[in-house]
Amino acid sequence: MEIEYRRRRLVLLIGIFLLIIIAKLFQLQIIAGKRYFQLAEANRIRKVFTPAARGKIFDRHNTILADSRPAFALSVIPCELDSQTMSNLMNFAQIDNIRIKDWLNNFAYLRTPIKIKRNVDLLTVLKIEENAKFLRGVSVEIEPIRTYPLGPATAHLIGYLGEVTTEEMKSDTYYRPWHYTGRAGIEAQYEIYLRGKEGIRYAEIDATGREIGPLPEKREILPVAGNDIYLTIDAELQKLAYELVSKYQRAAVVGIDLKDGGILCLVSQPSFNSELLTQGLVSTEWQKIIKDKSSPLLNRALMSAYPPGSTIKPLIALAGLESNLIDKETRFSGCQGSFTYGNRKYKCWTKHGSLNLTNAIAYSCNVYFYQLGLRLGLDRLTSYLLQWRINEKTNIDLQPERAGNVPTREWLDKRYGKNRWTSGVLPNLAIGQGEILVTPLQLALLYSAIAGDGEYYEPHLLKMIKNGNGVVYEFQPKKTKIPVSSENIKIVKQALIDVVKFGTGGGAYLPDITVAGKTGTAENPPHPDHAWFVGYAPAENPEVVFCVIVENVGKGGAISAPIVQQLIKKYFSRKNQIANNE
Amino acid sequence: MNRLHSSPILIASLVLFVLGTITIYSAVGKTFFLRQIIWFFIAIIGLIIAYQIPRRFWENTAIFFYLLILLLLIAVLIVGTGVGSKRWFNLGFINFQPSEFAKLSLIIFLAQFWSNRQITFSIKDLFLPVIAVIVYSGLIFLEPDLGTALIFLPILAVMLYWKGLPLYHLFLLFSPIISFVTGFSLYFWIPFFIIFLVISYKKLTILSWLIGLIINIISGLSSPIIWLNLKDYQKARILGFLSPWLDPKGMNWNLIQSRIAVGSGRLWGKGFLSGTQKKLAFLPNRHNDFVFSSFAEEFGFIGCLLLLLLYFYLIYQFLMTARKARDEFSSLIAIGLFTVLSYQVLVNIGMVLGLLPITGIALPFLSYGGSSLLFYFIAVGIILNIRNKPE
Repeated sequence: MEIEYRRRRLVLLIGIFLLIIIAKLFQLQIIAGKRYFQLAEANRIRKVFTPAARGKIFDRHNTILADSRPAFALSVIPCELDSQTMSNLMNFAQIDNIRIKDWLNNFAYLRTPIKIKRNVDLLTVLKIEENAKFLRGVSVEIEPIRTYPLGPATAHLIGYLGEVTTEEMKSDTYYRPWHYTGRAGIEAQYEIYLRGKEGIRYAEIDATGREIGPLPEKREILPVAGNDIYLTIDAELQKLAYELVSKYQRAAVVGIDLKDGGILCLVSQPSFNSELLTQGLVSTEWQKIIKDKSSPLLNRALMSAYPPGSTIKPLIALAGLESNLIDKETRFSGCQGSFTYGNRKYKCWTKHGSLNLTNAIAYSCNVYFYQLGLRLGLDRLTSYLLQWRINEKTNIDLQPERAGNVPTREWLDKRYGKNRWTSGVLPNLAIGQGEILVTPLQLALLYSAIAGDGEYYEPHLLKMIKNGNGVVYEFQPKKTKIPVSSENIKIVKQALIDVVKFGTGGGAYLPDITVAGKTGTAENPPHPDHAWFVGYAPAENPEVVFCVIVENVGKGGAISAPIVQQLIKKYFSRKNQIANNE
Repeated sequence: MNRLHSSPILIASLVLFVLGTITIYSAVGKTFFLRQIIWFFIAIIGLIIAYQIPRRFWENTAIFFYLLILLLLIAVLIVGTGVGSKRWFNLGFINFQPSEFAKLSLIIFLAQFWSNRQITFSIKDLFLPVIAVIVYSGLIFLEPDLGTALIFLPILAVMLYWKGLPLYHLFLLFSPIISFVTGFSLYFWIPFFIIFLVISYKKLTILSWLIGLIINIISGLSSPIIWLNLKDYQKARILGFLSPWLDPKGMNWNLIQSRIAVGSGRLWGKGFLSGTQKKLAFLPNRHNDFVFSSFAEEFGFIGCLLLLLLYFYLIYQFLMTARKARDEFSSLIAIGLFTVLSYQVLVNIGMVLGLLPITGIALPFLSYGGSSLLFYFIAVGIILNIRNKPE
């Protein structure tokens, strides 16, 4: 029967369709069911990260050097944004239109907020809040932003923050977009202690991405605030040091507490605005910094190495004393203003006449040290200098730093070819010119060693790490020693007192405290010389050493010695003040 | 009456209704649930009346009924309400959707037109029915309600097939539509056109072959033009179907969320009232066109199988009613109702699972919506009438 045939055909047709539907259901619910179940959970659960407060940074007397304050950030939910809202937003917030638009288009599917501008000023925020109804999908969030109360005075020391890059997020799973990380200075050095741990809370959301409420089945993980970092820095000294050098174009200051190696102040001039850098610069400002010939981002105290000039003379003298070539009364041919060696004349800065060792140091006579250097010979002299670790990094807890240089025979052969260098290297080395280089920090440490009769503490900035429960970590100073006889060092130390008392370092003289130190002039042809002064006090029982270099200002005695004087004065007045307070 | 309440067909449709209302309750809460219950009582009254009305009444009033619905379809375009479309009459406490009853009216009209005569592939047998279909489809398409507008085509096709029209004639009759659909792409249209040329050349006279040829070319060309006049959301739905995961923000959002809801139900489902996707509004139309995904999320694969079994039982019984009807008019009405029921079940579920484009069509007995519920209970009433009353 034809109608029965058609009925069967229709049943078959329906059956085939139903089987297709059942197969699809099987695929969705049984084969891929687990995946869809997870998708469904992800759909309704939003992981909300609660920011951890970044640790603060303090100086040794609990003065805040780095803090956080609340700031406004503009966020958008890309999938709620239409082009009208976008252009409204551009109007209100003055955002780089095209770049953001392109960038947002890549995230157009996202239902979670994306930050598009940080540290928005209050006026803009008010404008946005007022016009909220034209700005669907736009929200203003409050987030902490870093402040540095001492500003440029601590810029190189404390450093600054920056938003993490994609690479950083890949290599350290802690980081997520919009996180800040330390980019330089202490902020970078102690990033893992400062950053804390983000909290996580789970919220149930609806299809529009609105939060409905907390998710009862998952407990909130509270954020853990970052640890506070206490530095050995004294904010008052730091401020003063910056103030004293800020009138010069380029300079560096290092102060060290001799009883434990703690850095008291560390300044590099020119400086920069670390808050602006943290907030993210627009490219024109950034170009300005990069193109500045004075390289404001360079930390000269650790990263610039200069010829030590006459400040090396105590070390040359010690080399002569240690190798028993001279004693403190030894005299060479008198100084007539220059010294001829080979077919070249080597100058002194005045005619000193005949001087003994201590006076040669006190008056900084070059002719004396040319002759002493020649007696010692290059190999013996450089081997003594190497004992003072000029070729090594100090391993201070502030990176990056560079090592100095001692031009040994090996180094010279490598640099110029075997014996291709002139014999003039040796007399130049004896007065600290040429290819011998030290960083301001290294020079401060050399004088720490002299002040401590060969013994000194390794330099460090960290005093302790604290969290809410108390001290987590306290820095243990490490003592180290240069092998030099204390008899010989006493001779040099007396000479250094003389430098300030009646020699070239009179600028560092203080009536009630005996200051010992040495001037230096780093020749920098064809540009003007750099001025060094490094000194410690009190000479009888040294507590503190300061090292100052000011670039391109001529002789050290005139410019740098008074800076050290001011710093030593401040150090002791602070000390008395604190003692009185207690 | 005494045989009515114990009918397995009625029980099956009541079970489906109950499953539907509890899903609606779970998905969107009490308000919709209560409204659906009110509609249920109206629908039961509709069923009883439909069961009581003698079939001769339908036969006599077929044309009048067709014209009445025609007027309502025109009126709804003028005074109708709806979100982005004009589909309903707002009757104060409830909304009434005339397109639901256009299905019934067309089935009765076609059954009346074709019953008790031999039909051939000719103007006299096909012209008026085709015009009747085009008028209804066109008006409903204008609302716009693409899903319901398309339902008249399978009604026409299956009723003609049931009446004994050969398949190649059906192919020729529907060739302009196939031309239209394939007209979007020459890769589809050219192979179709070759098949058309072969079949039509064999089966038609030269004159009708030429006319058919011209009609096919025109309709093949017109589809790109009509495409440009589709509403954005309609375009988006069609495009979305062609590339589902590309644009989660657009219309595929519906499809993706629907799949997530269905898939996350797994074997046993999350349990009644425990679905998360529908509760949090991730599902669009979760009480309406997408009620199946709400159901699938809570009752799982097992629940879906049981549901499909119920539907298959009803569809099969509708078909058997057509097969066993004592007169041709009843048989044609039953086959028409069979077509509507199976088309809506298969297309709705196919759409929810992403097998078919989202055209917006209700799932019989389950979807929220009074007019649809009333239509299906009236359909059950008519089927039971055909089965139980010899007349």
